[in-house]
Amino acid sequence: VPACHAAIARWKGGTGVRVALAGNPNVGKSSIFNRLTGMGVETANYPGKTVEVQLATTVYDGRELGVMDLPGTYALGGTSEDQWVARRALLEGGADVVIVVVDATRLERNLYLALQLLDLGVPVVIALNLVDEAWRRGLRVDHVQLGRLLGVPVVPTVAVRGIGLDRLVDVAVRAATAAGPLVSRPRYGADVESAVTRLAARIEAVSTPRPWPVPARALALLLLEGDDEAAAWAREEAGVRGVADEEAAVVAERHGEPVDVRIVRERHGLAGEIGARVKLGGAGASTAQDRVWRRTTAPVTGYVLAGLVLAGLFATLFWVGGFLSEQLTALWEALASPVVRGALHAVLGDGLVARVLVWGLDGGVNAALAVGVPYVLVFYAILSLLEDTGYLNAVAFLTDPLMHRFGLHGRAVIPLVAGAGCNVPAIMGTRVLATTRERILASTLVCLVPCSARTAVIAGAVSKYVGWSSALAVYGVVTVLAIAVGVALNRVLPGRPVGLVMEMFPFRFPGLRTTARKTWRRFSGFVWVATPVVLAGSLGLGLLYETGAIWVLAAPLAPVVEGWLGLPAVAGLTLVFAVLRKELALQLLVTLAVARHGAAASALAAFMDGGQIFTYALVNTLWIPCIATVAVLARELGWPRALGIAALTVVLAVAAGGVVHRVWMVWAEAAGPLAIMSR
Amino acid sequence: MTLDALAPGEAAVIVSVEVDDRPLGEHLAALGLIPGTQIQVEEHAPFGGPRLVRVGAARYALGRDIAARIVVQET
Repeated sequence: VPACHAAIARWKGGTGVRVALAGNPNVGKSSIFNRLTGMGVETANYPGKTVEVQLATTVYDGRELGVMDLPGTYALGGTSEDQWVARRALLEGGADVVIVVVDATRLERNLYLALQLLDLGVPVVIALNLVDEAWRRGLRVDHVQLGRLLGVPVVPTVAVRGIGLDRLVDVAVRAATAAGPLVSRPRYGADVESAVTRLAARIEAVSTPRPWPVPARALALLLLEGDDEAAAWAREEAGVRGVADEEAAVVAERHGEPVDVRIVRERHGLAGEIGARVKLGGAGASTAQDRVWRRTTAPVTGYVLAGLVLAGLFATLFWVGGFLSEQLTALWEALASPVVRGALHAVLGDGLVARVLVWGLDGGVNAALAVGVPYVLVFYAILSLLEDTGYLNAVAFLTDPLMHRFGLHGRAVIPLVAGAGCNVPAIMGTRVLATTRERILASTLVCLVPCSARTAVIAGAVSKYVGWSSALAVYGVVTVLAIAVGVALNRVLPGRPVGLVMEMFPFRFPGLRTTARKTWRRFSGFVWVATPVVLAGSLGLGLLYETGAIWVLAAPLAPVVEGWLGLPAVAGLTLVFAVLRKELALQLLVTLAVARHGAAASALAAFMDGGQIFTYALVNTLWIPCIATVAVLARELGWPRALGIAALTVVLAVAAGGVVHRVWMVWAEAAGPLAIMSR
Repeated sequence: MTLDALAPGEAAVIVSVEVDDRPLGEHLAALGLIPGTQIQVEEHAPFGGPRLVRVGAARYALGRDIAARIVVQET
């Protein structure tokens, strides 16, 4: 058994009662977690897994509590990442009690997970959440009867408003500290029960330690369900395997279906039966709100609305993000920058060290400010809001056919649109995709979406000096290339595209507190990852520049830049510097051009022709998004893949730039006088 | 017939789920998409898009490729 996750081990070591929160996605689990805990939340990630577990130690109502928020899942199998993480964290953390949050409006489906947790033999308390929504639909759930049938306490709650939580904690603490464990075991059909009982008896007789501290009955069920981890344990136990195979064959023969399918069916059957016995009133009528909400997935209204929302997202990122970015940069340059520069020069004089540090501590921090706060924070706020209302799923539903062409499904559309604001949060947004394959595909495509900084270069160079139609042509070329890369990667990457399977939720008013904390958690994740890389990158570039090494390093670039791309050598250098911040390319180009060619060069057109400006903006747009993006790619996908994607963009940029340069030359020759006139 | 062939408004019972990818199969099973389950089609996304289906009180979007692997009998 591998070592326990360090953060979970620390959490486990706490003194209070340890409570784990489990439940289906979007049932209000996070609302309960956020209401119970304060600021000291720790996030645990298993290596190679993107699904997170939130951990906190808190004092609630005078009692010390350890609270663990498991990923939202529909079941607790071992094959999908979220379920694997949930089960592993739950069993490793050794929670004293598991609060299963169930949606009162979709009771039967939610009870499936509750039954599975009871099968694991862990003490369970049910939080019957969203009872207000159930009431509005004319649906009432007899929670006392539900508790009696399940054999565990049930507490009705309205998590977003904090109703019922005091009692929930009270009941959970009592369940955790009760003399005997409050464990109830669901009963399945006679054949399954007999198979489980006989297999459990055989497991009891084995001395090999079990993979987790679970009762023999739990392990027997997992084995019959074909669980990988349980099977791995039984590999050394020929006796156990023999009984398991025998019993599986008996059940399969009697019911005409494999035993794992039979168990799933009986668990659903039990959940349905319990649900039917505790529901009072109607079957959950749809409300006026539902009918309006349904328009979000209807063919015509759905597309109109999705177009408006995506345009709104883009516009907010572009304008609000851009405005904030400018203000923050201006503020930094006016207030902090002189202080930093002054202090560095006062302490270290005017030497190389001071100048390099200015690059990092002034330029680097400024670069982080220009991207981080304005774009990332704004994006996360909008994303969290869209997610919590349930609207994101409607957009995914509508855009699925389009995304399919790139081996993605509908959930990838949000990151791709967000990429037009800033690639960094967009790549972090690819976490909504389940498989690594999809995340590689989506991240690569995001890198090819011109972000606002690259748009600034296209606007400031091409649109200004060549014309708006040429600026649009840059976007056209980039779009065609992105589509080609998407289609090609989907063919080349091993594995198969995954189809869309997604629950659609009714509209819900987001809990502002939960949304705000979700936004903040994601944002701080970005800050901690990207800032060090941006600072280190700035220091490195500063060192190269201040020592003059950059000119030496740039020399080998000359054949590519001058010969292949047809650009002035200094332009190539600014492209290299632009990895720090893409909009820097243009500023640096003008600065270096003035230094080399005199003040007359301040107008780009004085030393580059239309074709060169076009090529320059195209190459700048395509090649390595920026250092912060590479840092985030590395965090999300690992360094090899991050560098692979970066290399792909470089090859693409150089190839496309060279081709465009040649096409432009041919075109300019053919259209000779016209081209000169347009200049 | 398969689920993707049903028109919006039509209902059916699942006969079999022909999915060879295990995580996907388990996911569908956890959602209750197993043989014998009653299922109603509510909406088709245009351009060969996903199917919006209702199972019990829950609604799911299923990509057309996945819907095509769910064998159903119309009711």
